[in-house]
Amino acid sequence: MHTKRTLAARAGFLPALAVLVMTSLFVVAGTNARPALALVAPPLPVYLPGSLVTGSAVVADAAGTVAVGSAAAAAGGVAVVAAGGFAIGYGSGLAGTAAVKLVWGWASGHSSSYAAIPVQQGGIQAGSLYCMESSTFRTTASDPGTVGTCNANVNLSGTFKNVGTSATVVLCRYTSSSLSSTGGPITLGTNGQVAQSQLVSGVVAETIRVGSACPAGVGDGRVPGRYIGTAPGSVAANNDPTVTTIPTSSCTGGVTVSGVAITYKGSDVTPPPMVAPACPAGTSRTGFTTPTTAGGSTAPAPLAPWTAPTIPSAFPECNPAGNCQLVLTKVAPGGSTFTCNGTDECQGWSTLPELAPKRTVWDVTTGTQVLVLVPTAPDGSTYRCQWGPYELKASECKTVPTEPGTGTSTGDEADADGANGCHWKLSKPWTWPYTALVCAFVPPPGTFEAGWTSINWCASAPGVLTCAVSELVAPFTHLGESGPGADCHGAEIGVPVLDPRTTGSDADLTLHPWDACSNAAQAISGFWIPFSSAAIYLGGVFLGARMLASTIGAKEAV
Amino acid sequence: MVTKLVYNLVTGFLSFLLGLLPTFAPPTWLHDLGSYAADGVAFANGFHAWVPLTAMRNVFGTLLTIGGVVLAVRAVRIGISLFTGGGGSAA
Repeated sequence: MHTKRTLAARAGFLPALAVLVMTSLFVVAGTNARPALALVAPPLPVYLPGSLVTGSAVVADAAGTVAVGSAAAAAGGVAVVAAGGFAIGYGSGLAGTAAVKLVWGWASGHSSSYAAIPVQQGGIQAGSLYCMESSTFRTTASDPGTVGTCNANVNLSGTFKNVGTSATVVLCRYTSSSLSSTGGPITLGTNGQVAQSQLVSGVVAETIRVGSACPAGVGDGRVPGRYIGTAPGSVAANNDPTVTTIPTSSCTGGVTVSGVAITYKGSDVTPPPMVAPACPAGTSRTGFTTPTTAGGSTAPAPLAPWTAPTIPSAFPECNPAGNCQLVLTKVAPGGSTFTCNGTDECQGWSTLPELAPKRTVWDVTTGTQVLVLVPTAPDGSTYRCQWGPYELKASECKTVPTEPGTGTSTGDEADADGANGCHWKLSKPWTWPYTALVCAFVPPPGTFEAGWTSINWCASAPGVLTCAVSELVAPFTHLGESGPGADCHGAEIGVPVLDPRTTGSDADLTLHPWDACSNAAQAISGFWIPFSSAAIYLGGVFLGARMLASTIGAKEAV
Repeated sequence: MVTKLVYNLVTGFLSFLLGLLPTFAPPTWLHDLGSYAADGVAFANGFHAWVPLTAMRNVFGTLLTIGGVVLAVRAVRIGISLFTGGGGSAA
């Protein structure tokens, strides 16, 4: 019996022993894989002193050369929007790594970042934009920087070229606790412009990463399939033939009003939102067309500054079908979002009880009732209201009655339209009893889930604590998941480098000391992970069996 | 229809009961802990090429579940032993 216990103990120690051995191997491999850890400054970008104002940005190419205007775009690749933004465009044959450098204003001095964004055909793959402690940045060699605070108005105003089919560009906002309470995620709106930013104040660090997804618990602003080149004067650097559409309204009296020409990639499956131009005073719209002409050039076209589209009315038509949806999103403190998708999930979101139970799909442009959202829920959640691609203020978040034939609705209507199996087939009367039973006792799909989630579990005192604890535990369920910063490159270390040969240009040297993307580290990792996992599972089986055996009075260990 | 009505009554009653309970804002430090945990997990995931994090998560979660089951079984055995001459022993 003593021998059995000893064997079990040995099995339990196996993972720890293996971790120790493999850690040593990994350190050696990682060091060998990164001989460039020597403090060699990367190509340094050139500052544009005049751009050191809030919201300005400087973009450098891989060689560290800063270009302003359309020149870089014409050359294919990264370009600079001269005032207040940056853009990442594409030229034919571009592949490789481009560097993006953002500079934004500070209370005194400025902070900057310099990180590589691998650019490949198909869209932005990944990248990192950093805002670190201001003490690590300086404008000149003698400038101590603004020590102690990171107080930057991160107003990233730019466009992201989406060359692929439906790539998602995400700004993941990693913050320390002292920063996370200052506001919600940075969101990007139509065309990839920043629709929402916030003043960031804190004492530690903030990291913004550009990637395709954010890990759990990290605020994000997703831009599914947005476009550039949909605003006046803005045509993306593009190696794909463009399509130009001019929204045109027909008005009474034979008046025709043409809107702003919209240019977008021909391969974009879904056209960008189009707004019907307003008719002159005294006339009304009788029709809305979107004549499209194929054209454009396969050659890169210049980028030009543009401004975010404004909302022409409370509920602008988003495309010829006019089927914009009003979407309410609840943002939990941890960054998780819950979308009110038309069932009962919005219950408790509004201060008006009669509006709370159901929210369906809103449509058309005639809002009458104001949905008063709870500004901040007891659990600290906030709300976001969007009408199609536009973000609305809470005070503008209105409900719109659904018009027949133009909108959809869910809920009890599902029972009547047959969505719940209530198909009363006149030709088969013998099925009526069965149909009646189904209609009576089988609820519509999602009823139980919707009802369960409609209960505001986190509102009461015990619920507040329970939800807070679950919020603490929830991140651990994502342990081991891959994603930005958790790929084979592993965690990053940004080392600020100051080149004494210059007049103070600084840059971040990004290191991946735990890189396992290439051999021999890749081979070792490929062997080590299954081996150590098996050892841990084996130890878990022994321990679990021992625990279970003890419940039936087994005195000896398994 | 009937099932949904009953279910809505139950959930409505639960909501009513919860509404009777007092509420308060959770302390800020509790949210901070969650943020720290998220940061820690995000940092740890950067080592997933070298540390078997998935296996650790699965095994630890399973053992926690087993531990809960064990505690429940023992509690039941203790309760039963009180009526069967065991004196509350679950040994």
